[in-house]
Amino acid sequence: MPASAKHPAQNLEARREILKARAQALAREPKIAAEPEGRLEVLEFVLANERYALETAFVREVCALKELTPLPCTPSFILGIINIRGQILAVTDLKRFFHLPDKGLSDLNKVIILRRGGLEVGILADRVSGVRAVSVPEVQEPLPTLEGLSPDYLKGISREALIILDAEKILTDPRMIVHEEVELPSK
Amino acid sequence: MKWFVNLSTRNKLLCGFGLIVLLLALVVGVAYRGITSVQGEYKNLLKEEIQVVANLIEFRANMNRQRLDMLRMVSTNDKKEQQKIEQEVKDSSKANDKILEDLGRFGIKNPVFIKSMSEFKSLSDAYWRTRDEQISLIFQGKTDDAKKLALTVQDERFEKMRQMALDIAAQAKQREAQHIQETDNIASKAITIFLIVAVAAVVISGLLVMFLSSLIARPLRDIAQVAAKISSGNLAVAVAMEDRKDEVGLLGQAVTGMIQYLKEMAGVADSLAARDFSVSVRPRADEDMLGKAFAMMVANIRELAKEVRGGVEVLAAAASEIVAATSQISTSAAEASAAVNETTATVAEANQAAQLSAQKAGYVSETAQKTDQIAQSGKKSMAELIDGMHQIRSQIESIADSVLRLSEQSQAIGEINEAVNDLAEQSNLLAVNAAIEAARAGEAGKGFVVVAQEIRNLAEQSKQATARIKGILSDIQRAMNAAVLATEQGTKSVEAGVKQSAVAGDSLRTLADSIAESAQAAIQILASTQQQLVGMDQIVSAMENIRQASTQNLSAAQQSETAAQDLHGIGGRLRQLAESYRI
Repeated sequence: MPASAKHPAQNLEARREILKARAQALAREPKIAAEPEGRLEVLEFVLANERYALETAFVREVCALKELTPLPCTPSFILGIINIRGQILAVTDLKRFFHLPDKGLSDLNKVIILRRGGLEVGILADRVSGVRAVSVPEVQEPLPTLEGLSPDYLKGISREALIILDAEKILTDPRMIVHEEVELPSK
Repeated sequence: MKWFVNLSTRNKLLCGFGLIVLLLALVVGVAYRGITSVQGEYKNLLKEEIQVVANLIEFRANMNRQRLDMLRMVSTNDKKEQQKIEQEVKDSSKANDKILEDLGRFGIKNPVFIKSMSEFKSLSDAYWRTRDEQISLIFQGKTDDAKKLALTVQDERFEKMRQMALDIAAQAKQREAQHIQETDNIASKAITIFLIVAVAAVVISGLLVMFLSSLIARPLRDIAQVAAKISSGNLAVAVAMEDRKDEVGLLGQAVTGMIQYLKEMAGVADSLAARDFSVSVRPRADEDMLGKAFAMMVANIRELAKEVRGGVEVLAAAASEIVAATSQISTSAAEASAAVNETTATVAEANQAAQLSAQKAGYVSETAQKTDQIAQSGKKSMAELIDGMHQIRSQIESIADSVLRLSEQSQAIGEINEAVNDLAEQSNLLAVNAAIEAARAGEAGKGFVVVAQEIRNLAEQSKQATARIKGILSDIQRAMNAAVLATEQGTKSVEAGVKQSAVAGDSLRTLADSIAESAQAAIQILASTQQQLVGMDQIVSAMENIRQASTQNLSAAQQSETAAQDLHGIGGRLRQLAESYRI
């Protein structure tokens, strides 16, 4: 930079201020640590421009969507199967699962792998925002008027307007167990 | 004597020369007779007398020889020798016989000689017989008898013969002297006659010459003198001569006629000289050349005089006309001279104008040459401009290449940015996974949660940075596209510029060529004006000459006027002269 070259003293000062700001930011104590009880660790993600969250307890891992293989003779919310490190997993589209209307563009390039017991299912997401702590008392009951979304699959809505999904219910939904027979066209 | 005068000159000459020829024949006859008689005497002398003497001498020599031989024969005994001597003796006897025969032939005329010759012959015959006797005696061996005969009879006879021979020779000598005497006499006589006749011939010839001269030469000389006077133009002469009928008389008459004829012709010429052409000449004969010539001359002169009279009339009239014409010419020449003076002044002005135009042409030529130089430098600049345009085109092309490469590279940067974005995404996921794992770990993973959070923040920052890079890159690419478009337009513009400059260069070259041509033309114009100037100078000098010539013309016209006046006067005088002729 020609300006810094011209004024090395100013440059040095500016750098020093930046370093100072960073140090202060790091030195700040997280609020969550202040109230350990009633605290819920959730994974926040974005789907169709809506912010959703899932309890990290049911989340095995997050990965990018790669090499999706469509699977015939499955319900429409089951998009296909993927191979994660040798393990074959079914991938579900929550929007179709919840009969949500298609709104706006969606990347659908992230897969959140849920686990409960021996059942593992992949859920598609547009973007994964990260893990955050939600104070339970602050979670409100879901409004029954919520469009399209059955209240059975919801845990509540946080103060930050985060829709916390009930992973257990989703996993235990009978629709997840796919047993479908297709009549072959007679000869 | 009259008949001789009237004889023709040929006959006169024949008479005179015939007389001389007669005298000459007389002289020749006398001389011939004298010479022939002398010749006969000499012939006798030579043929007979001298021959006789010579033969007798030879005879005597042979006799002596025989006598000696006989003596030798007697004295020798050798038979062979004797026979040989006998042969010799016989040969000499034969020779003596022949001599005797010859001698006998000579003396036909002289009886004394014949008589002595017969005696001598009989004596010699006797001697021969005795000698033959002697020879036979000798052959018989009777030499003594032979000797005896020889000393007696033969000796006597020999002596006698010798005496006789001497006598005969003496006689012959006597006759010889007699002959010579006769010859001398004849010759002296002939000479005397010859002299007399010659003197007579000379005298007669001289008389004849004098006579003929007085008869022919003198009148001829008189006539010749008359002819000489006639040849010097003197016709008042006459030939004084008596009436003669020979050639001289004829000549005198002819000369008299000639004088008369010439006097007649002179009279004609006199009347011609007095301008009287009315005389008539009648030629005397067809061969009368002078008379015919005079007749023709008179006729011609008459004709000529008539023509002269007519011609003089015409001449007088023409002279008057010439006078009028020359006076007109004189006035015309004066006018022409004035006009020429004006023309000379005008030509001088024209010459000044030509000098001015020559100066201007020089100025124009210089300017044209300068313009030509400028045009040449413009042409050079134009060529440089075209080169510059070409360089610009190649640079623009390299710029377009660079921009294209830059675009490709920015594309590559975009790809790299995408890759980095992807990496950030994956880092984000990893951070989330790490947070999940940390949450699952419970209290023990609290610190790790923070770390994961930080990693996630970093990933987030990376993503933002890539997003910014992407924005910048898209800006760059837009700018790049604009640059590509601009360079393409620039290339097109430069292309057009190159074309335009080429066209301009062609135009400039054409212009320069035209300027060069005009400069050339200006130089030619300059040369032409120079030539024109020279020509004008020549015209000026020519006009000056013409002016002088016209001045001279004027004076000449005036002179010719006076000459015509003179001619007019001469014409009048000629008319008077022609009227004085009598035709």
